[in-house]
Amino acid sequence: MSERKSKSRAQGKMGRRAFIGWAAGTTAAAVLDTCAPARVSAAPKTILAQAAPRAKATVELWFDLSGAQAKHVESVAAKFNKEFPHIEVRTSVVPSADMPTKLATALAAGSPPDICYIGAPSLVANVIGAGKVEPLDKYRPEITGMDWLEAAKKLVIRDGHMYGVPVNCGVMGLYYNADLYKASGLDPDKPPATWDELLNNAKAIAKPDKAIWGHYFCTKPVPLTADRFWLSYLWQAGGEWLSPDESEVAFNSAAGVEALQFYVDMVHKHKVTPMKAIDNLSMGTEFETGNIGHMTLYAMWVVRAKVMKFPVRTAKLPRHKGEATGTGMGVVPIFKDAKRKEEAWTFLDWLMKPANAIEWNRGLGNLPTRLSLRLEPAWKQVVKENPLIEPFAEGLPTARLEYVGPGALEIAKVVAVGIEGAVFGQKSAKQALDEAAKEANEILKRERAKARG
Amino acid sequence: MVTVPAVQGKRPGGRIGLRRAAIYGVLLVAAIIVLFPYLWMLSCSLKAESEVFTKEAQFIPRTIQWKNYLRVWQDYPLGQWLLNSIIVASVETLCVVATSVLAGYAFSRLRFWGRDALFYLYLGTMMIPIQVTLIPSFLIIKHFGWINTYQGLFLPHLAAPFGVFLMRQFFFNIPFELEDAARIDGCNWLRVLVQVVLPLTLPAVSSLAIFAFTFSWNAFLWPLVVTNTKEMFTIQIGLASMKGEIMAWDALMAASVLSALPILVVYLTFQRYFVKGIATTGLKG
Repeated sequence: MSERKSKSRAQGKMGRRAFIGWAAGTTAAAVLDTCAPARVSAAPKTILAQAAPRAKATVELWFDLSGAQAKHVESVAAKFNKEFPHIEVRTSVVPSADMPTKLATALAAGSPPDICYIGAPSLVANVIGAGKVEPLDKYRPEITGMDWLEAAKKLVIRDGHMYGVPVNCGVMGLYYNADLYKASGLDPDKPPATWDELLNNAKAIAKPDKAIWGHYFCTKPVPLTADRFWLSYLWQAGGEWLSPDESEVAFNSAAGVEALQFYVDMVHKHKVTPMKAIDNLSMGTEFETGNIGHMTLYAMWVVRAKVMKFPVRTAKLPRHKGEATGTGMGVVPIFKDAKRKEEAWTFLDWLMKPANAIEWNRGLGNLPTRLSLRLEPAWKQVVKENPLIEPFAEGLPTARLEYVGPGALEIAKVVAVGIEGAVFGQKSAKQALDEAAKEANEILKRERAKARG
Repeated sequence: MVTVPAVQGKRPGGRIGLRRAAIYGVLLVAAIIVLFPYLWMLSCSLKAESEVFTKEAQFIPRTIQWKNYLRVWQDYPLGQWLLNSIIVASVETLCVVATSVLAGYAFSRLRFWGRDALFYLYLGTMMIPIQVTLIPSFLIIKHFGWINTYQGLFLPHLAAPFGVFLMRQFFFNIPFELEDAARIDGCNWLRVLVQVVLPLTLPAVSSLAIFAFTFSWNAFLWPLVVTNTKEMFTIQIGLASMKGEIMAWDALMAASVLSALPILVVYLTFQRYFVKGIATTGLKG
């Protein structure tokens, strides 16, 4: 080896150290070279900025909607930009499933957007709990006292401060196929109002041998899927997710068992629902086949319902011992590390105006979060144009928010797994809920200990 | 002249033929299973929206809807997303190949203190999940002001431990004597690498190029956090942004077909080297 080395040196050839140095240098040069255009393109921007009389303030808005809904958000932002020429709300779409990852990274790095439309209540609760968002009452003190839905207040008001504008909500309701109703001898103008009626109608529609099913509900064991949809049934049966002091879970009560047994019976006893993993996405797409009698889904699906080949009707969720429905919510907070807080607030203030709030919800197929907006002529016009939305709006007074406190996602997961276990016949309803409750109480205990430090 | 006696009864060749037919049969079934989702994607991309979900599954569209492709092209900046992915994947592939060849050659041929330890240390970085390095990498890129830029997209992926490992293994299979001859003729290390060794490593380089391009093309997490505008999305982020509670499946399938085309072209271009490269480096799927 040394002979090789001395020979190459003697001949003036590249030695091993020189080779390694050259390799490193070449790589670095290649990297710098590829980056060069950015340095070149940055220069004119600076010159332009100096030359401009008054730079436009850019407010960065991230949102996690797609398709027509994304286009609607862009059009609302464009309308604002036209009215406020000194501000530009620049929208950026984020894939909905990946919003938590992207937002968490940006927040950790101290470079979040100015504002963000967050469609998942648990994520809203997380960013508020982590102290990453601005209290909005400092811009407008009376904001906390406005007629927001109770569920909205519960989510965004903490210690008398409001940490985000609830811009829309999606209440769960019942969608049903009017053609299947007629074919089964049912009156499409009479949707089921109680669990018994739902079951009877589902039995009339279901033909399992032809893969025609009476009713669909979520059974997929992922958090915020099976658990979230079952929660409405739990409330309707008179049950609660947590004990009043929120120290332990309460979903394994007699009411909880009754609600889950209703699921199990629909699958095994009455055979009106197939034994398969169903999530909110597959539920909608399977309903589109025209083979499903009813399904429980959010208001925003009315946008899709309008283009079905068969007539789709909507109704409030059937009651049992009481009326209740779950609600999801879209909230827009201003982040503490935002660069343009004042301008971001200008946009949110504009968005809260009745005409703009209604326009926002019209395009998204959602419902306003302030009760008084339902009385506005503009909202009445929305309902007139799209009557499918009305039953969801009627459900608003009974809308409730799921638990979004510490450990919420983990608890949601264990309940979803429990629901799957019962529906797939691996456990009885009581056993599944008791096991889930045991695990969930451990999670709550751990979270309480963590909070105590 | 030697005459071959006629084989009576069952010919040995017949048994081999039957075995071969069985193997082909199994492979054919496997190929259909693998290809079916892609064919279904193609079929849905050419269907009317109302035909995507029907009571009876329909493979052949009633009327071919070429307009789905036109619609998705007009409604979304698909061309820009594809261009971004092509730029990022091409730069990453070129750099990964260059750095892997140089480092792999150094690790297989040069003798320096701590060589093997350094190699294993570098290889060990493959064990660190991207989630661990995500925020530090993001902070570095942010510090340079490269969020939402091409350089921000590809900079953290210009070298790959897997590529270095692949090339090092391949270089070990090339006899040292070939290089000795060149070195006696006066070649330096770099010239030996470029003129003698590299032409022999084309199968491995092709395999690495396909792996690197595919990895970069399919990358999701890093492009997700480092891009903030639709114009800078790569195709994977663009496709994901089309998904939601309410979506047009026909358009999404058309976009998916278009997104798969470049990777298909790359594979078909380098296909003849690919199998050889995999075989000679001892890598399997």
